Amino acid sequence: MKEIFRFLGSYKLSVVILFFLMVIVFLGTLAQTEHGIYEIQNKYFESVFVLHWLGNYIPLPLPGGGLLMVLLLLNLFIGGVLLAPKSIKKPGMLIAHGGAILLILGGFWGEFWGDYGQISLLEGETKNTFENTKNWEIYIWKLDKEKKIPITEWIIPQQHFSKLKGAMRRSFFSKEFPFEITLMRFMTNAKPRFTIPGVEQGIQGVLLEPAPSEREEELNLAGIYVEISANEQHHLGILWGGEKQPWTFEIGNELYSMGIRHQRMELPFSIKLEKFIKEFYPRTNKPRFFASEVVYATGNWEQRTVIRMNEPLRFQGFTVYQASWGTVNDSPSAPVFSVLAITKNPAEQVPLYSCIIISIGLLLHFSQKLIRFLKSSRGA
Amino acid sequence: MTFFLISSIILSGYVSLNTVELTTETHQSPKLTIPQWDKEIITIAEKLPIQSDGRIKPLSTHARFLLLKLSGKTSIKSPEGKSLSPTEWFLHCIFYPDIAKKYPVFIVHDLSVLENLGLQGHEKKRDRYTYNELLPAREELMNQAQKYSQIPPAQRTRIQEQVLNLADNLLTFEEIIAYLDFARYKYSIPPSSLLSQFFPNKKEPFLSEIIEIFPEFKKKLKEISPTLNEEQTKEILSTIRNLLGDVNQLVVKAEHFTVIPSDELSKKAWLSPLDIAIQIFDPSTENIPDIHLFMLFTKLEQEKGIPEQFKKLFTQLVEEITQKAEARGEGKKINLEVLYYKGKFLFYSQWIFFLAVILTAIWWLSIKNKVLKFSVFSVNTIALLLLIIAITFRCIIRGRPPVTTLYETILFTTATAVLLAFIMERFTRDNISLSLASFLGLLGLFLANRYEMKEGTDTMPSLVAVLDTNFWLTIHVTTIVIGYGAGLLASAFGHVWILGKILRLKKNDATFYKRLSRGIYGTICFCFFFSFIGTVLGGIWALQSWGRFWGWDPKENGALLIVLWCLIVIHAHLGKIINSLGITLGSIILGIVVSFSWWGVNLLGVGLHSYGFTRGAWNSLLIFWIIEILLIFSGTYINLIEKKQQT
Repeated sequence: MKEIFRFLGSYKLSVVILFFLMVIVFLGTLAQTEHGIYEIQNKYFESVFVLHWLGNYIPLPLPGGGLLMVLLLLNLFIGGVLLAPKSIKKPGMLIAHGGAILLILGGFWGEFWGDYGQISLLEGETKNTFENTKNWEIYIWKLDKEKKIPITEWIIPQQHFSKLKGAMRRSFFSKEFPFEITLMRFMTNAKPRFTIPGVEQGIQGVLLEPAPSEREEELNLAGIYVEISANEQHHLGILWGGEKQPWTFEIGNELYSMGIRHQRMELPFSIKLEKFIKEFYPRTNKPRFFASEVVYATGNWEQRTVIRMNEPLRFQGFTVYQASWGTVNDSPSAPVFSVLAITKNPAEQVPLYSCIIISIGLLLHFSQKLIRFLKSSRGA
Repeated sequence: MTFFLISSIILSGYVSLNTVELTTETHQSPKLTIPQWDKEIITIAEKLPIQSDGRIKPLSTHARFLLLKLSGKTSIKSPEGKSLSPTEWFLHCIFYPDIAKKYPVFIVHDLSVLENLGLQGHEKKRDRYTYNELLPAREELMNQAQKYSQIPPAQRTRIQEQVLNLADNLLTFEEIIAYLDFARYKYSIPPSSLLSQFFPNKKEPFLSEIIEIFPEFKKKLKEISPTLNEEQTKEILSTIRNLLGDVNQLVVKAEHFTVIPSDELSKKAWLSPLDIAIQIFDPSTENIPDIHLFMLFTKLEQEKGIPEQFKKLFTQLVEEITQKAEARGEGKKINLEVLYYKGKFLFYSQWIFFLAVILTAIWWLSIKNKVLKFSVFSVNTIALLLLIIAITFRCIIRGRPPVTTLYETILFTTATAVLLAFIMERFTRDNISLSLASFLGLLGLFLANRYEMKEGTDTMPSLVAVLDTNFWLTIHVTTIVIGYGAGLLASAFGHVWILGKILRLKKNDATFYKRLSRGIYGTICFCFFFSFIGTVLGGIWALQSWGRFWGWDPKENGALLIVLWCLIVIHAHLGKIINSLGITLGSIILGIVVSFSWWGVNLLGVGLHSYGFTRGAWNSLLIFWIIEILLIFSGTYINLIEKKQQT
């Protein structure tokens, strides 16, 4: 038992873990020339195991980044803290390793408990939800028959359908709606196309095909097949993230709609974009500066501020950043929208604190070493 | 009514670009001899503030990088054998286009580029050509360029890339030589038209002359417009339509750079001389704009043959523009920038480091003469000082911390490595660090100067919005680059270790190698400290800017690789897994990792951070890596043999 403990805290294990981490980071970086960052992140940096193909022919099984980080944390804690010599005279390394543990824990914390998303606002627009671009959700609306507007909304979150691959199906019932929803064949990035008549079967001449992941995760458009059954009635439909209009069907003389969209998350306050300010270097297309003038409000209270690069808005545990901007279409007079990134991560400042702790530890340690070296070389 | 009709045409003239090909004659310069300007005119011209690529800079900087882009050099020889500075060449282009067309400025790297165009090349494979030599194949060149531009950059062949460059250079040159076309342009007025009444003795007045009388013309037109019949209205309309069509094309030509600070402080964009003049055509305003700077430019062109007059006018022009800029609080660092490029600090620094390398070699061969050691030290110090002066100049000119571009990383990394080597020498007194300082200095400045030549673009560009924060640039970028410098120094020590073993130097001095590897280990620790802090700070910056600490972006990963490798070497040493050979090999690998992180990831061409794309750099990098790997193997082999001999 003691041996295992010693091994877990050993330099040898540190070197092995760090080496594999380096291999994973290197291969993951190279792979980014061909694959999107999201895919790479899942496959290399956050996984338990990786099967890397050398030149398409030779499989190379490797431990994944997630597993390595957990092992590293263990190794750091046992070797760098529990087994480390604890002397008041030489506190540097202990402090540095403590800081490193904090840094990794902070990373895990943000990964598992942080909320990340974004919000796009046209000038004058107000929103109190933001979109989590990593996750999708399916919404079901009951429509008002006359006005064709939703009266009630139900949501199926992504974790309930993300694993539906191949022939897997999953059905959903509720007392609140009089039909059964069956979901199948979920695709993280999908492209619809017309079927070849007589050869392929689609739904009203259209089918969904899986597409390779986009370089930027936000650009992926998920898709899924859906079957609605009630008594003898069956409806087959396609839900696709790129579709602006929801899919509408009629059951028992009532009108319903369904669609797939990025997961919506509530903000405890509303944000209104008053004005988007952008400036280019004269006679160039190079942005010099861009910022959003916003009003954020809760209840009757409101506050005006400017969110710009390197100057986010922090409010009620959320941080709102100026991420990017775009235009509705290509015409020069097209309305401009501002994209704000929103995060809620209680561990947000942890990297900063751990960086300071580690710096102090390293500085203490290295300056002690240097002084000793100088003393010894003067003595010699 | 007529007046409004005309107004609307005048207005639309601004918007629609007439496609009629202009027939401005550029052959009218009085004498086609080589312009003889005295040095003073060039000195004055160098300091002319202009706005290009979004920043205010001296004309000399603009000319320097243009010439560099076209020819790959910062000076050219006229056919008569006279060497021209960039500003001199640029003035020739503007004022004497026909002479400039005879200067060999277009670099062609491969004869087959010309052969494909149906041109006969010079004898040398790589040579410079004149505009007139390339002119016969202009159409074919543009056709080919049009075709190749459709191919994605990564799939283009070297020749295709060169064709695209040549076409781009040709177009740039044509922009420059057409800059003053507005001053040469003459408009043939239809006889007996309303406009001709203003020019009783002239059929073809200059544009400047028309502009001068235009307010009166407008007034006159307003007076008589109610009396005009349809025929007359039509005629006046067509006269003005033709004129404005031509003016529109001249406006586009005069956009190569802008030189007149706007009178309105809120307008950041400067104007070309023609931009202010054409306001006179604006029917919506009765105000007569101040066009005297436009007139000055025109006069300059027209009186370029009279040196005294030219100098007087030019001095007045530069003074007025400088004052106008200063009144806006702009162009304050123009003189400093001119001085920076005139000082050629980096050029001299490179050659002084070269001298240091030679002295070092003699020093080692002469069995360590003390006087030689002192001279190596002093020469290195001078070179380092020049480098530091250059970096300081750049910081002041830009009002930025030392490193904001890939080019500046080279300067700063070199300065760090040399300075660190000096410090190491102070501690170890083994003469090795001092010697390495010369080599690293020479290598770094050679790389910097080559990079500047190859890129041929302003190395002090305006910064994109994300980078516009001096605080983070200082603490993140500078620490990262100090890490690079230390890593490369460690690698240089490693080379000494391995080459020493291969050449069987100090064979019986075991402590020499032990001390050396201790130095390497110390430098790796130093590299680790800065790389680690720099990397985490980068993450914190990203967190502050757009809300994510770490995004597995290639540049971030590159920095992480350096940190991980240093950690591996440090822990392997502490765990007694490696000995002094291991540390040495570790330092060589560190050099490879640093070069990958510094240059390699930029060449992958992905990610937010890829601020530089340098074609052809892959090959140099691959050769470097192959040499390093060979070194690793030979070091291991030699060590094995040594061990065998000992047992």
